Amino acid sequence: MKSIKTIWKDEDFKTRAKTVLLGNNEKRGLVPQIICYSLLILFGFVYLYPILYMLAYSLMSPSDVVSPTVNYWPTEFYWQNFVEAAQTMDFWSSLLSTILVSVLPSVFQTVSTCLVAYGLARFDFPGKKIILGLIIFTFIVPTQITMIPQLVLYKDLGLLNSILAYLVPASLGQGIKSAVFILIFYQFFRAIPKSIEEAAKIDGANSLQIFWKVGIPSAIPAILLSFLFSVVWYYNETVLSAIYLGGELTTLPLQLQKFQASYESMFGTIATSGKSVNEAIYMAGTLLNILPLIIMYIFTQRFFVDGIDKAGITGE
Amino acid sequence: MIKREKKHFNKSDTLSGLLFCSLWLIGFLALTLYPLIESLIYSFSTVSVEANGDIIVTANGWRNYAYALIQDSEFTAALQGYATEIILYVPVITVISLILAMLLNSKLKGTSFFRTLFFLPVIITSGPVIELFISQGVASFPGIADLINFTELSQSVPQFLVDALKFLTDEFIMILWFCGVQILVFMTGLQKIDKSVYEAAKIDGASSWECFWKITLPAINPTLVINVVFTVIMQSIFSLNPIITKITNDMNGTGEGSGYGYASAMAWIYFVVLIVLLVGFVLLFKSKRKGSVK
Repeated sequence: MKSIKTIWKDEDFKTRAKTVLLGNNEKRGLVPQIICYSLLILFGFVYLYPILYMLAYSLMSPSDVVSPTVNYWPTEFYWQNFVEAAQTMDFWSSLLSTILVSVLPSVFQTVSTCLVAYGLARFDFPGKKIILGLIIFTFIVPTQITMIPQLVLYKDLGLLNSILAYLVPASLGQGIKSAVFILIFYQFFRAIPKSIEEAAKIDGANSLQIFWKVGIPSAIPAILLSFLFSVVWYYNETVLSAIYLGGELTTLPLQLQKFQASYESMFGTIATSGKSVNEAIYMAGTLLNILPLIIMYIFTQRFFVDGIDKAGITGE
Repeated sequence: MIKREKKHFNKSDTLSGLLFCSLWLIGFLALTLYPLIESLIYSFSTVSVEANGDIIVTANGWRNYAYALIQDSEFTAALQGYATEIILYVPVITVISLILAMLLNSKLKGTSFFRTLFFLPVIITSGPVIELFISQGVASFPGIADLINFTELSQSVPQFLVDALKFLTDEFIMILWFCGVQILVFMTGLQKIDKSVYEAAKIDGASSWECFWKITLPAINPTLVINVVFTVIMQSIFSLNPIITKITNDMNGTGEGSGYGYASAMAWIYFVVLIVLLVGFVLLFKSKRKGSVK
């Protein structure tokens, strides 16, 4: 049997050990792998920390909240917070209007941005470059500039305080961040080989038919991506929702924004009832606000990631 | 003399193209260009809303702009806060996104799980949610800020650097939360790099560090610029931006320093600052590419 000393001197063993630990050109070694994983786990934990904290906190009873010994984990799961938060936010009816306000404009936005992107990607016509430039310009212009005259315009047209204030701009390609969607679709449509289009043309298809038979099927990942992103951005919008939708359609994020005031008018303030909106209920309300989005994300996450992957946004 | 060939456009292509763009064109003219011009007019006027909803616009020259920049300390403070935030956020978000994208791109098992995780914040981030995190102190780790003695530090380094550091430690997790899209965009850029380039460089004796600066960074420069533009715009339109709050609060008042006219003037000043920041960042990140290619 060789002694440890001789094993250590054995060149062959040395190189093998080095390969296992540090890796070579083909294989990653153990040390870089461990470093990568530790970094990923560390970042993963940091990312989740606010959500985990919120989850634990939202289950604390009022005595846990004030107790100095309870820091991170509740002594018992106190579900009453969620009941009170749901009441405060008028959860079911707010959820319904949030879904309405986010899904419907997203459908229109996806269709309109898809159309204009196809026109720009597949046809050569005078002024095309100008239109592309203007689309990028609309991405840069802050909403705050156009917001006030739009408000006046919508009021004159009778669109205000209804979902129409979202639907009309969305269907004309001027919805929330429409420019991003147009650029994503543009990338997709440009990737279609000309030969497929020409073959369809020889078969006698007109441009609308080609759009329908060739363009749409090749852009399915982009359609899903745009629709989902659109839903997310409409869902989370608060500034425009507050101004355009008024009190008619109150979304969950808007409810969250006025949580404290709603809670006090419903359950009374400390002075009147001895109760106040403790942080645990507020956390429960926030969780209720993001819960529908998380559920949606669980089922659709691969479309988000694949879509961005396939969109190949690289700036050519 | 260079002979310019006149481009001939196919008639049916022109017609189809314009047809596909027609909805957008109508929308742009009516809902973006017209409001843009109106807003410019408002910004040079006093705008009052009558009881019956009529709008009366009286020109007042540069009064709104002068008031915003000279008298309204709340606005200039908001503007300053916004600019500082962007200048701090953009480099940090870009660097962290690139690090995470490279980690995720390393073909290890289980990276798709982390990719899903890092993208989650993009889905759930909205003004009120972030506001709650910041107010509850979960926007950063408890104790991170305690590690640094800020009062002691401010004696040896300039105050603005201390403020910047404090800002970063206070909202550390939120900065990570804003990286979701950027990580994925970087990943698509990284995946396009030909692996054989690295192999060739390794044979020539280049270290991983040199490979990063000489191959990876120049190759992903277009992606980098896209990410920088995206970060600036997304941070600007995020509803917690102090300027947005200020404009929204002031638009419905009457008298000097409020109303539609004044709010429009503030919005235009804000737009100019945004453009300056955007152009500055793009030039900064683009010039780097030229340096390393040479």
